[in-house]
Amino acid sequence: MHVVVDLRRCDNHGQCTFSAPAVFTLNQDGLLSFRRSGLDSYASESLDEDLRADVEEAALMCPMQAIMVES
Amino acid sequence: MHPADCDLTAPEVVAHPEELFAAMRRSCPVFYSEQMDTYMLARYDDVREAMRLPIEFSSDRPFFGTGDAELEAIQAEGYPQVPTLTMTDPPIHTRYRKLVNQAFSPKAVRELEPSIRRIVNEIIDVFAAGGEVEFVREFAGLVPGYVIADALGLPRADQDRFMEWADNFVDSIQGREILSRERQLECQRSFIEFQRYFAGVIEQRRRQPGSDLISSLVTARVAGERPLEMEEILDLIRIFLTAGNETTASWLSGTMLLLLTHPDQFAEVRADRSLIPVMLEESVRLVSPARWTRRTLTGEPFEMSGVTIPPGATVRPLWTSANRDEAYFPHPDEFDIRRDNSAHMAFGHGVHFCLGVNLARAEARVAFEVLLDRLADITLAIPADEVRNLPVVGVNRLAALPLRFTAAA
Repeated sequence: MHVVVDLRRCDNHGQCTFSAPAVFTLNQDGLLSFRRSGLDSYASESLDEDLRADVEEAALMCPMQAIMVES
Repeated sequence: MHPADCDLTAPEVVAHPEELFAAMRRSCPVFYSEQMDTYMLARYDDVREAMRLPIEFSSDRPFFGTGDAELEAIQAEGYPQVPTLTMTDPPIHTRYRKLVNQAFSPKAVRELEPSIRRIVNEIIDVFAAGGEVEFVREFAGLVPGYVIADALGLPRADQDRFMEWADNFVDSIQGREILSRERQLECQRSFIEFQRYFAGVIEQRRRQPGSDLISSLVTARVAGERPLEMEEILDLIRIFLTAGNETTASWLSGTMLLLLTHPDQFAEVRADRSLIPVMLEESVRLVSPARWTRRTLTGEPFEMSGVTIPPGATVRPLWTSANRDEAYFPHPDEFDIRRDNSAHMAFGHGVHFCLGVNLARAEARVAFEVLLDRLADITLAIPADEVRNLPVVGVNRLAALPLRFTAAA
């Protein structure tokens, strides 16, 4: 399982960091840590199944619906 | 007009501050008002920067009445106030936000949609045969309150009291400095009444939990461990009532006015209902139901648009102004349902982003779907330039919106 974040949609509200703090963090500037200039999307490494409930909640709660959980 | 020469408390300015804010954006984007002892952020970029730094621009502030002996004596008759969502910063804010987010998720809101539709229909039933309606009082002001009462599992008969409490909260949020002494006392007493009413409901739900929102707060566990205290649940309910009532009501009324004053776009939406959501995003940008929020700068002095804000200063990021910033929204005062307005901040930005956004969007969409189904030939019953806002600080509330229509077959 891994997550894909559409960085064009992501607006750095940070709600994902509440649901899945082990996966999503905001950096010191308040931006999603995966954000790099010129990058349109971010695909995580393979994640432990233990994190599934958290990342699914993050995907559900994202105000921009920018997170996808892929098996 | 220069903002420094402007009386920010003049009723006409309070009711319609858009021109004042435009002047700030042009000449003094970070404007210190001595009158209100606050730094007002008028530009989109500055508002956004403050919002992504929730520790520096802190939401932590004392409750209404703190430090005032008479107001504190009234508060002492109620439950101690515990800050949860709106007046806290991460990590305290985070714990509560995580707990309540689920209750307002897209999925949870989808489950509420049939009852929203039923409520909207029932409200229209009352006036549909008469061919006229005062849209603010008889429709927009009722929908969000009935939906919240329904979600909280409360009798509609108590609705008027919720609305009164919510109005008083909204006033008290604006700060003591702008309220008359009489209003301050009234707001504080009303708060105790609110606490006592809901303490009774919470006790009842503890004994007998149901499927409503208060029951889910009663059965929730903070960080998977302890249940919420009475005082915490009271603060969360205070927030649901305050944030969910006035704002959605303003959105509904303001949208109807925009449609009526833009008949071509109204016709377009009537002909193609799938345009309702994009139309509503454009109307919420222009209406900006909450005109601003309030933060306190902590830590170091902070420079913004050439102004150094001192620590401890009160800062008011202006949503109304950010949402009309020419740099992001060309011809910002124009209502254009086709424009790209995805950057608007009518629901705020960052960690405090509107908890109820999914619910508000569903309410507004369903409201207009049903209105268009049931009311035809909607027209203003007074000239458009006589439709005015009430001079209520920080919110965008129409005084009245009298309409005529024919009931659709």
